[in-house]
Formats: sequence, structure tokens, C-alpha cells
Amino acid sequence: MNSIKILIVSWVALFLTVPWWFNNISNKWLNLPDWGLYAMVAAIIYSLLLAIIIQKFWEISDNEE
Amino acid sequence: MKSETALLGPGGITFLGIYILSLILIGWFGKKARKENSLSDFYLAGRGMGLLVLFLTLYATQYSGNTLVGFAGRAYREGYQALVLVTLLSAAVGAFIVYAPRLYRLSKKHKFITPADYVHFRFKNNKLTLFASSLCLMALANYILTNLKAIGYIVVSVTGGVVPFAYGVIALSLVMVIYETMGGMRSVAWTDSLQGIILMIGVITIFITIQIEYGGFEFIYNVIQESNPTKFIPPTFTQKLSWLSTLCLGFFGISIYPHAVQRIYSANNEKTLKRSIQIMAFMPIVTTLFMVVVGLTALALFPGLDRQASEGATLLVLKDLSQRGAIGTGMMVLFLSATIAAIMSTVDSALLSMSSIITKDFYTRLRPSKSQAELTRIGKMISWAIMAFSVYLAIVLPQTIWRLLEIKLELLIQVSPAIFLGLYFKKITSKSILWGMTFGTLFAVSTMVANKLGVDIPAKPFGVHAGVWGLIINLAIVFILEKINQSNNEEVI
Repeated sequence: MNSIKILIVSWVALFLTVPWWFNNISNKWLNLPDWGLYAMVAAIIYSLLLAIIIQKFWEISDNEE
Repeated sequence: MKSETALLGPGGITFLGIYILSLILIGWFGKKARKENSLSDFYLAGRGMGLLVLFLTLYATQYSGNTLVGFAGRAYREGYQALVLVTLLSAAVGAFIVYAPRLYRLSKKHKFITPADYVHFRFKNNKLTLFASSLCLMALANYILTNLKAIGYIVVSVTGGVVPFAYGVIALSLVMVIYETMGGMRSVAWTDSLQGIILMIGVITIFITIQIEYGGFEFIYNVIQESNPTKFIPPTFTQKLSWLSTLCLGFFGISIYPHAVQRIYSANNEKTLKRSIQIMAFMPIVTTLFMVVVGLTALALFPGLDRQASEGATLLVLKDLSQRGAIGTGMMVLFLSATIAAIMSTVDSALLSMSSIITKDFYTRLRPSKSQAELTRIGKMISWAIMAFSVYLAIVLPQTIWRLLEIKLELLIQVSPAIFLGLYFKKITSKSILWGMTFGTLFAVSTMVANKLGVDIPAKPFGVHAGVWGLIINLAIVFILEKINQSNNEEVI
């Protein structure tokens, strides 16, 4: 994956971390409002995604000049 | 003698004092480890930072006093919507992945010291280089001033006013500038390492204590449901746009703070840099998220605080834990040390970065014949001058002027096209980048200043930060000028 693709993947993932889908009064999930839980889990997944991208693709983006 | 309102007694204050003075000793060791009298050695630790030091200095620099005090305050006011702050700092790491590998390789090859060194290497346009440097300087100056002010307030809280605001600012600034000018980046990074460890332990400890003492998310949910049910309402569409706009500031603004870029230059090899950034990806979870929980706990415990009082949310929770007997003086000292460490590690890094920009981007252009040793000496003098002036401003500036200074990411974000586009689009010209940066900055600054002066212009039109609108204008101008340039070239052919 080159850096432009990494940029796109990163921004798609960032876009999805925003709780766009929640509009009504929230329900309780694991002691959090559902949209709050979504935002928190999405933030954790985004961190994991970054760690995976670094692990798998850093060397490739490294040699692409 | 302990004042009625002091957070610490004489023993705690003495311990804190010893910790702060020990930083000068670390600075001295940094000086002893110097390998040569050059700008690269002074400002980038000879480009020899190993994994542990690089990670800890990146961590300590990125998480300022604002993380420990300001983020909890924001969580108090905004409730669960403050969870955006977790992703905000992750977004900066996301940006590192995009630009750091290529910029690092170029910096090794072409011996960059400052971010503007890359801009000049790429675009060879003096006006653009100086403009980018000026924006970096303004953002850093703001960073130093706001953190110095925060440090003064913490000293007053710790000592119950026995040590006045001005004396606190002067004393801690003196410590910072002494160890910074002794060993430059090496001293700063080593002190950052100690500060980073204290910061991490402090944040994790307070989070765990809150879980045990109050009951964590369950307690927060049940209490807020009774006292502040509006905090459960999902963000409106405008607030969601604002959420996305905040992430934009993190990605294109926080990631290119000059002191962060210089840490990328300082890595001893690419593997070290890769691992450090990989670990950094998880730091928002164990730092920002934990501080948001502290703020939400404060909201559950002390509802009804105004904006100013909510800024003290963290200290209120600490005091409550202390009164319940859940924490002793030791933990109070630990957390206050963590707060002071977070601020000092940010200020010293920003100070070093400002000094490098003035020396390398401005002074060497006026006096290109100066030797590296002379430039390093001048850089140190510049550090003292910046710190003295910053301390003076932190003490004397009236609040109305402070409000105008609260613009940093909005400015810095305008530099990002020069770095991101410059690195990946070979044909892009300096002219379009310069015009984009100029109009983006003009829009962001005029909107923010007008808003702060009370003109009926929102700081976030349609929920999007003025700086992000500025970036959109910036990129649009770059795109249009590049298209015109392209069609002109085709006509010539």
C-alpha cells in the first residue's frame, strides 16, 4: 500500500469514528450511551488499525521513492 | 507551614522541588554527552535518539498540561462528546504514518534541522520558507505562553498562594531554560523521558483509583443520568461536523508541530522511528481517554460548575479522593508532578524548536558565514531571550489580549499542504503553495480575530473550525493554480 492509499484508508477510518449514525435518545450499552460507546470503540479500533498499517506497510512506503 | 488551600504540605512541596531541580542535573548529563558543537547535535541530539528516549520524548511533548487539566475540563463541560479528543491525538499519529517515512529519509540525506528546511529544499522559495517558519513560530509562541500561564496557576494551587503566580512562572522557566541551553535536544529528550514516565504513571494511577473508589463508567452513567441527562443526547449534525473538523486539526495541525517534526529528524534509524510511532498509536487510549473519564467523574461528583471552575475538574477529583482517604500525599505529589512534567516537557521542546527556527531559518540567512559553534552559541542566547520575553508576557498580558492569542492549530494547519503535497506531488509549484498558504491564513486569522473581538462571526462556521475552512481555501487555491499552470504549460508545448 503506498502513502496515498494509507492516507485514504486513514481518513475513511477517521470519518467512521464520528458517531454519524446516532440521532435519537441514546440507549445504555456497557454503562455508556450507545453513541459514546461507539465513539470509544471506534477510537480504539482506529489506534489498532494504525498499529497494523505501521507494522505491515511502513517498509513498503519506505522504498517507494 | 501549609496554607489552608494548599494542595501539598511542606514535605510534598520539598519532594516536588527536588524533582524539578533534578532536571538540571539531567540537563548537565546531556551537556556531558555532547559529541560536537554543531546545530545538528544541539537541536537534534546528533540524530541519534534510540527507541525508548524517542518514544518518551514524543509522548511527553505531545501530551501537554492541557491534556491533564484542559481535557478533563472539556469532558466536564461537553460530557461524552469529549471522546473526540481521544481520536484527535490518534489522528496526529495517522498523519505521521503518511509523511514521516519519506520526510525522515530526506532529513537524513539533506541534514534538515527545522520543518522549513524541508520546505526550502522542496520549493526553493525564500518567501514561502520564511512564511512557513513564521507560522510555526507563532504557533509555538502561543504554546509556550499558554503553558507558562498554566504552570503559574499550578504553583499557586500547590502552595496555596504562598508562592505567587509570577515567582512560580519565573522559577520554573529558569529551570527549563538552564537545562535546555546546557545540552539542547539531548537534555530536553532525557528530561522528557523522566517526565513521560511520571506522566504515564500519574494518569494510569488516577484512572485505576477512580475505578476502584467510585465505580467508573457505571457510577458516571447513573449519576449523570439523574443530574445532567442532556449529556446523553447524541451530537447534532453540526456537532458531528465539528467532531470531524476537530480530527482534521489533529491530522493536519498537531502532527506538524515543529517540535514533533524535529523528533522525527532525531531518530537514530528508521526502525526506531517506526516502533516509536507504533507505540504512540496507543497512547491516546491510556492518556486522553483516561483524562476524559476523570472529567466525567468530576461532572458526576460536582455538577453545576461554571466554565472557569470546570478547568479545575482534575484537582477537584484529586481533592475528593484525598478527603475520602483513597489517596495519600504520595499520590497527590505524583499527579501534581505529572502535571508539571507534562507542561515542562512541552514548553522546553517548543522553546528549543523556536530557538532552532530563529537561528536556522532566519539568522543564518542574514549571516551565512557563521560557524556551527557560533550558531549554537547564538541559538542558546536566543533561547534565553525567548524565555525571558515569554515569562514577561505570561505575567503582564491582560486577559483580553490572551483571547487573541488562542490561535495556534488554525495557523499551523496552513503549513500542512507544503509538507503533505510537497512530499507526494512532484509537479506542485512553490507559487501555488505560497498563495494557498497566504489566503488560508488570512481567512483563518481574520475569522478567529473577528470572533474574539466580539464581531458577529462564528469561530466555527457551520460547525467547522475557521482554520479548517482556511485549509479548504488553501487547498482549493493550490488546485486551481496548478490547473492553470498545467494548461499554460500544455499551450506552450
